[in-house]
Amino acid sequence: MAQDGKNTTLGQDFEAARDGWQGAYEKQLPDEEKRHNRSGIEVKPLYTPEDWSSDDYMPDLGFPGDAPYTRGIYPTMHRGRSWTQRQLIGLATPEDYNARMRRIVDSGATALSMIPCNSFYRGFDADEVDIEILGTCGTTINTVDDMETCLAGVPIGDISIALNDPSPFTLLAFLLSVAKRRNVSWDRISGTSNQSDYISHYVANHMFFRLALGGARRLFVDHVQFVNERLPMWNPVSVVGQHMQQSGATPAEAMAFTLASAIQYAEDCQARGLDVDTFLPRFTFFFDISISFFEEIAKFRAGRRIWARLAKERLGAKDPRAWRFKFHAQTSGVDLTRQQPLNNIARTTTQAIAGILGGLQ
Amino acid sequence: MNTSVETETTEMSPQIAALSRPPKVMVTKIGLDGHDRGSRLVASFLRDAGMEVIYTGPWQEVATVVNQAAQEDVDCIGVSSLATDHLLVPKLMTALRNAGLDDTIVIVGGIVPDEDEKMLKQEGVAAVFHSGSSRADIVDGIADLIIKRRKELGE
Repeated sequence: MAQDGKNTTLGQDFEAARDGWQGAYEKQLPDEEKRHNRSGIEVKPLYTPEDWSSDDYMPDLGFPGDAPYTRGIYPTMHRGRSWTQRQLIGLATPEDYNARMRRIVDSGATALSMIPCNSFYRGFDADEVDIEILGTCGTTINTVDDMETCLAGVPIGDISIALNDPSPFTLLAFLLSVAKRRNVSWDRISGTSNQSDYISHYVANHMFFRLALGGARRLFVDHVQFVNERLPMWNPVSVVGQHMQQSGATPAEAMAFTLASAIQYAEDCQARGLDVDTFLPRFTFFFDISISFFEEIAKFRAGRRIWARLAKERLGAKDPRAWRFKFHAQTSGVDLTRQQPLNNIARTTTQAIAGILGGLQ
Repeated sequence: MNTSVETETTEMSPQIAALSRPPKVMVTKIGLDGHDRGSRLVASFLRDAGMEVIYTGPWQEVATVVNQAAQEDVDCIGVSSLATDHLLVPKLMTALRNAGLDDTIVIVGGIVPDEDEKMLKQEGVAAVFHSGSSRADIVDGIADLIIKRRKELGE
């Protein structure tokens, strides 16, 4: 956006060249309609130094690893440490899960994920649901023994574990019980309660049946408090924008709604009397990456900048770790089509690169 | 906005318009999976094509679907499946027969492996629409099945 009275030193050559280009452009495309990205923001045919001001550099961009982190939350970003790749696993019986996971660990995976069966999602025990669908899209985990089987041979004190469930609290309790049985200190249990963000399930996946929103928020604060007190290496939440974007939100809307959820959770924690500099550094985020390449990169950069300011100015966090917008992302199935499997590989690659250039970790 | 949202309305086919009452289709999901985007989309296709649609939402039990199909007197039940919930369709077919609803057409749409499609056809499922089916394929396919069935029933 042009800044009035700024960057006026580009000179007459610039102005003449700009006017010449504009004339040529309008001559060749006299009836061009304005173009917009998926978020409805106009995309101009060309951007020049007139569109920004060097005065904005420090407040809006700055350097990687410095607030507002627009260019990345770490000074070295992917040159220092490559992004984590985590394969989602969840199938059949605990034995089947264990076999698949060990194969992945043996192949060099540094992080695990666990997806329980839909029966678990819905709050049923395994013997309460139709056998035909039991364990067909997640692992049947009903007891600590099941979790023990799932994690047999896995060094749970040395590997990061993501628990994927709309309320991962029971899974975490199982995991901690396994740690206790094995004499592994809870200080060493690391990972994330993925999808403990119930607001996203409520608004985007209409899971009204599971918990009332008020109760879910209370449970969430209980979870944050427990994790803060007992599990120094555990992230209690990954605030989810992916569900919203897959449900039709534009990239800008998905980012906005996700930040709104995070503010809600943070303020709920503060209302409980929790210290913002203790709980906020362990908030993480999870997003969708569509094929709108530049827009997705811009979405992540904007998210980082907005979060840094929100954390500092609105939530009052003083610890810079709380200002850092940590997130993971998933490529989008919405942009794929069954008829073109090979094109889908290229599409997914494009999405993944947008996420990487957008600074995911 | 350059995102093209389809706004054109499908014209009702003369075949459907000629029927004494519009085709009545229940669009449902049985089982435990909540991925309902496909079922919502198909429900809107069918409605736009002039059919009467009963949309149940996901997480339905077989007994509920059968009960509702009887009360609404639907021509066809469309079961949407993304995550293996179509494996419950044999139970649905049995329950429909037990309820005397043998003449209700059952179709399945979504992610259905080839071997499962064979099994479903053997169980009496009239058609399986995979992801990637066009709107015309789905609308015309269902309309043809219903028109044929009504003729068989002497309507």
